[in-house]
Amino acid sequence: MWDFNFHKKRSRKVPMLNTTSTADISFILLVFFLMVTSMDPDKGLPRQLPKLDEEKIEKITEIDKSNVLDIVLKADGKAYFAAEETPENNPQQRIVHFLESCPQPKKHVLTLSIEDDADYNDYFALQNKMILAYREVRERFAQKKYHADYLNLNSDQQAIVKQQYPQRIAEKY
Amino acid sequence: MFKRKKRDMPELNTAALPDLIFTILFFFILVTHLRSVDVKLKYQLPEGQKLTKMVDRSSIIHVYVDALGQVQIENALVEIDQIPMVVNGYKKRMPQESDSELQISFKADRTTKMAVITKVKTELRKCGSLKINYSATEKKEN
Repeated sequence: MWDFNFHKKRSRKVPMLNTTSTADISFILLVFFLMVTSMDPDKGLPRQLPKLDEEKIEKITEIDKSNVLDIVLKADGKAYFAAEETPENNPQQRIVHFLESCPQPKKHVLTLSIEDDADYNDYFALQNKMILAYREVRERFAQKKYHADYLNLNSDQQAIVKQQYPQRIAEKY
Repeated sequence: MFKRKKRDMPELNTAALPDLIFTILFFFILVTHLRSVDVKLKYQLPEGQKLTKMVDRSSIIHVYVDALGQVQIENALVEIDQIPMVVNGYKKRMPQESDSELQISFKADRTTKMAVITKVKTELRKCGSLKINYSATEKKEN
């Protein structure tokens, strides 16, 4: 007779897929990515260079002079401040002191001139010290005015702190 | 008499091994980035403290300077006076909206003389690439 019972199929065993080589394939992929990519984080000091055509040399008048700090990076890798004979051992503290004692911090200028024979390493270290000095000054100002860390301030407050101590560095070429 | 009954070694279940390796693979895909530049110069970056991490990786031009004053931009070695031309060439190839945000990742050897660095910087200013990032390695604080 006909068997109309379609639902009751004989249960067949599905053969297992052989996945032994999946691990090998993914290993190959892994090795490929290890070789092709790199993990070095790109860290550094972001700076804005001045435009070439807008190179207006501001005349420093007598009144402004107390707001200006001259820094010269000489070939020996040391920073000389304000035309002094001896190099400054702690540039960061010196800049912090200058920023906090100058009469108009909003209008101060750090002028930086570099001798051709100085090493890039010393230049970078000096730039780094400048940034650290600005950070220190801003941090102190934030503590004094808002009693909070600079990084914990909201963006308006940070803008006020930045306005008080803007980064004004003039490099001479 | 001493002959032991042969026992069957149970097979190790390696079903989860591919998953494990895939996880490692995804980790590497996420954490690393493609090495786009083949660096031909030898350089050792200066050390700095409290550095900023470069975020936007889409519109970066890599500039390398070694101790001898050789300059490499992306994949090609260039003469110093050719820098504006080469940089402008790369700028044209970049997508329009990111053009203004173009950044220079500046990698120079620590013993390079400032005369060279200043020259390179002046050339970069000539072609209007003003956003520069002096690359460095983080100094370990003792």
